[in-house]
Amino acid sequence: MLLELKNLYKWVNVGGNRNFLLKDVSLNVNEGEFISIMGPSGSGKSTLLNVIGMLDQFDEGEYNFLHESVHKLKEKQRAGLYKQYIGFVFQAYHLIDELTVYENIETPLLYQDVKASERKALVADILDRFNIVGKKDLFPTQLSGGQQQLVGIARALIAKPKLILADEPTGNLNSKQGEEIMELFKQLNNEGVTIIQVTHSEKNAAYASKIIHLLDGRIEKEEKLS
Amino acid sequence: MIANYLRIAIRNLWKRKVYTGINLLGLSIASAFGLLMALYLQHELSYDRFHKNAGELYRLEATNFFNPKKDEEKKTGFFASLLPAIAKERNMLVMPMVLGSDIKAAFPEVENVMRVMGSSDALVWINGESFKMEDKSTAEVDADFFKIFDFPLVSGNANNVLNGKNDVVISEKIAKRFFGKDNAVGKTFKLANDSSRIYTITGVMKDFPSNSSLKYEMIFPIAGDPGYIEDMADRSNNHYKTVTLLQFRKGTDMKQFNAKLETFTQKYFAETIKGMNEDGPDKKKEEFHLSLMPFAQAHYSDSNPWGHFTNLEHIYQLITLALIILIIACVNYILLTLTHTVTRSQEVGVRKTMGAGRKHIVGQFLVETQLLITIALLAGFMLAIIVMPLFNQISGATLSAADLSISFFLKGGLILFVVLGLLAGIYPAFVMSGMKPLSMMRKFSSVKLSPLLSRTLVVVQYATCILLIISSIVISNQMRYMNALELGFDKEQVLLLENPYEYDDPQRQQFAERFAHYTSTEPAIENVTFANFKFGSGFNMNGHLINGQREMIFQIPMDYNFFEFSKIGMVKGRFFDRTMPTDSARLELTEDQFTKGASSVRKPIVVNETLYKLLGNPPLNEINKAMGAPIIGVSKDFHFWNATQKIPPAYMLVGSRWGYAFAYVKIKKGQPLPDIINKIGANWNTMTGKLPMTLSFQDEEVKKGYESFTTWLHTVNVATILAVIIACMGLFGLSALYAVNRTKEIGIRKVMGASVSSLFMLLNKEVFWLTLISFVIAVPLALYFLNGWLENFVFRIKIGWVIFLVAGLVGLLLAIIAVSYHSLRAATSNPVKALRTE
Ligand SMILES: Nc1ncnc2c1ncn2[C@@H]1O[C@H](COP(=O)(O)OP(=O)(O)O)[C@@H](O)[C@H]1O
Ligand SMILES: [Mg+2]
Repeated sequence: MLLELKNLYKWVNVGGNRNFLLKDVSLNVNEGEFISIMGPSGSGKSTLLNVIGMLDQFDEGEYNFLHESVHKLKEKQRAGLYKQYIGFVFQAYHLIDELTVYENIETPLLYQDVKASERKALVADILDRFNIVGKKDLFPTQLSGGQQQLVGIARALIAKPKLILADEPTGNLNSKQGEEIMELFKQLNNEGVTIIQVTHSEKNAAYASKIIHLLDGRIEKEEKLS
Repeated sequence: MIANYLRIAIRNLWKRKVYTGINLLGLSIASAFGLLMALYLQHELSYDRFHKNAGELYRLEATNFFNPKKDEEKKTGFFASLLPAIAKERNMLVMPMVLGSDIKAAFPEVENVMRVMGSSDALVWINGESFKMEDKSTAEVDADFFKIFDFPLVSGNANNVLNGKNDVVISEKIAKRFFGKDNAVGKTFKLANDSSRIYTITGVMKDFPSNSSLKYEMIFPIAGDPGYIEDMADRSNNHYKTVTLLQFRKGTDMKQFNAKLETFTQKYFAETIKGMNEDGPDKKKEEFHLSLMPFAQAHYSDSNPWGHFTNLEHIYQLITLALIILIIACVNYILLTLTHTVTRSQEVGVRKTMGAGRKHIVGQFLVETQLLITIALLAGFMLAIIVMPLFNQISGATLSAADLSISFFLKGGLILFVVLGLLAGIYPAFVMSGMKPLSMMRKFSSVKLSPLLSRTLVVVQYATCILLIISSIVISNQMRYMNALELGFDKEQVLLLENPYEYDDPQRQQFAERFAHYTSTEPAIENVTFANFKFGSGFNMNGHLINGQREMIFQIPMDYNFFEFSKIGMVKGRFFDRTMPTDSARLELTEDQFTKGASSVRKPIVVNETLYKLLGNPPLNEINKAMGAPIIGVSKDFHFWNATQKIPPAYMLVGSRWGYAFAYVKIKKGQPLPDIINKIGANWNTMTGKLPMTLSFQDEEVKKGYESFTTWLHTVNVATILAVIIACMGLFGLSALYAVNRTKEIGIRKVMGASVSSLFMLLNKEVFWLTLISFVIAVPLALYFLNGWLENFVFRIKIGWVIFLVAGLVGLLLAIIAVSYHSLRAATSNPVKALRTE
């Protein structure tokens, strides 16, 4: 088992009232799964994904990542997990504007103290795979949205993570670009990468093996696809 | 990794040009100022340390029995209170000739004794041409001079260059002046005060370095001085004449030596000490001690016979100013960088999700800071060279670009690099690295610079600026007040000419008559008089016993018409009268007409009001016992010594044994000065046979007394201007960021019908309050520091509320101007546009 959430609660206090963002969420994710999270706007999808990605805290319940209790992790250990296990893909791409495509993709390797020659080979590989070799010296602002998201995914993948967390990765893309990204995810999943994505599109959600429906911070239903 | 950081840093700095420009300008100004200060400091601290023997050399000092009331001049104020005792020493530095030799004979640990006796202005004759040596530029020394000190000789042998009684060593500069390109060694010259004696130049020395307190151009062997021969022969130990340095053997226990020296002193000066307690009928027991001052530290002491006094108070003040400016520039950096965190939070967040640890983020931001600082340092370095002449001019320093060695730059640069990095870079780097990665997900980031912190920093910055503005105003008001101070005499249009003849030259006496005669034929000259002093110098002080207290009284010898010439008012009696022969005659006094063991004048005197009061308003025209002279008149008090101080008690008398030292020439109003000076110069040459003419202006002599304060004023002004510019640039940058952050709010308000002026007020309200708080903090600090500073002056301004009001308004106005550009732009922007960007 890659990770498990047990009766997780998260709330904010508004004027003395508890406002629940997550309510009694329990979820098991095995290695190699592909999960889509769906739900209306404001239902807590991003919150859930952030909690899974350890970007956000929870208030009650239990969360184990690779059999380790997450709320006991130190910041250093968490950074270590990001390096080795988790790659993030964002709706707004979040590329670093001051870095070229090449440098953006290279950055995670820098934090892992990968040697320069190895870095070069790894980045070259992935540029090749994503067909963006010609764009490597451009800055993010010089790319289209789809291209930026490709770079974002390439960056998330460069360190060979076990888990990819994607919050509406196709939200800002047209349907054709979205489809390409989904194909890519499918392919990665086939290679053994676990993927959890948030999406509004039924069509994109269908790429997954499991869909989780959220409503008001509560898991309304889990839907297994074949 | 570093390369990657650098690349991002360069791109980031380049992208935000205004922000980078403000920081760069501020930091480079600050580092230029810092470098110049460091250079000045290094120069001052390096004084006299370049001698190999510096560690073993000590100067003998003695209890100053001529100036027993040494604590009267005690200075107050914040910086003065930091001074070490050494800076306040007012010991007597001249010793009997034989003392050095006797100490050397008595103590085996004393390896050498070196006597250095500065002589007064010498007039040199070479083949019928005269050269005046600058005051204090010649000295008589023991023959080992060039062995003990590291003053290299260009020609001549250090072992014997001063062995002959008529030998002399001159500096390269003087050699060039006297002989041009010719070799000076072997050439001869005479001095005007003894034409029978021929000196032979046996050596030429390199000009003394600028960080030497000893600054001589001409060195004579002391053994050739008749006074020396006489004193050594009769072993006189009560003629205090020469500065005496002792060179100790390496490893001497100074504590032990000091104890032995004390025993020696009490025995050696037993007679003197007995005498001191006999003739001083005041009850206090007089003591006499010798002490040792390390040679290389002597320049920190106010009593320095060699002219260079490193005023530590001044140095502390300069360091403080430099630090203030550095801190203001750093605060700018911190404020601007932290306010920028909002725009950088996304980047930091993303990096963290990619596995960046805190140290990576800190490293990245430090690289960015240090890159900026490096550029600023290089710019500051160049700026320092460019403004160095200006700095010298205003601070009175004598720095040259040559002092800016590579090693200095590396050292100074490294220190600034680290200090600025710590001050400016560390905090923002830690704040940035502490940001939670989630913050990037939120459009309206909750990670804003804590307003309390940013406001505190702005207040610190601005309070400092207002403090400086107030200081500038107060100091310049005080200086203006000094310039306008009623001195009690007429100083306008008065030229001072030095008597060109030596003391024992009979022509010195006649000079006054001849010169007076000449001036009476010159229509542009209104009047002439003579005296032995010029403002601030040339006085004797004599100890008189007044009401059982020993008082040091100034003696002012002058010509008959000095009072009329200077328009000094009369309180009582009469002034000197040329037609009264008794006015200049010496009096015989009976036993009961003077005080034994104290001075007596024995000539008719006019006393100033202060002395008259001190004497208890005695009757005129009869012998006053305390003075040992009849008082014929009382003059109004007039300044003659130091306009920053109270007018000390003084008496005036007619005539001077050696002839007056100065001619005072009053030029008629509306006459072109250069023409008259030329005319006087032409006549001077025929009258004196081309002796050098030394001329100064009376009003400038007065200003010299508080020159250091005027210098200080200029320094504070420059610091104020720099600080205010840097701080205002910071406000400008900050207002830009605030305006951006509030674009949406402004847009909404506009849509709801807010007017431009109300928005402008809204945006500037904060600046107004922050300025007000800064002002409230600055005022008591200003009062504290400036009242302390003003205590340097007996005659001083009151710090009135108008000054504060002006400073506060100036500060507020500058702040509002600084933020207005962006506030106005924000307030007048198109609201639709502002809202659409969301
Ligand atoms: N830190 C927070 N404080 C207060 N409210 C929050 C916080 N984070 C999220 N919310 C609120 O919780 C709800 C769920 O948000 P989110 O997870 O972003 O929804 P979704 O991604 O499903 O649209 C929203 O109403 C949002 O405004
Ligand atoms: Mg969302």
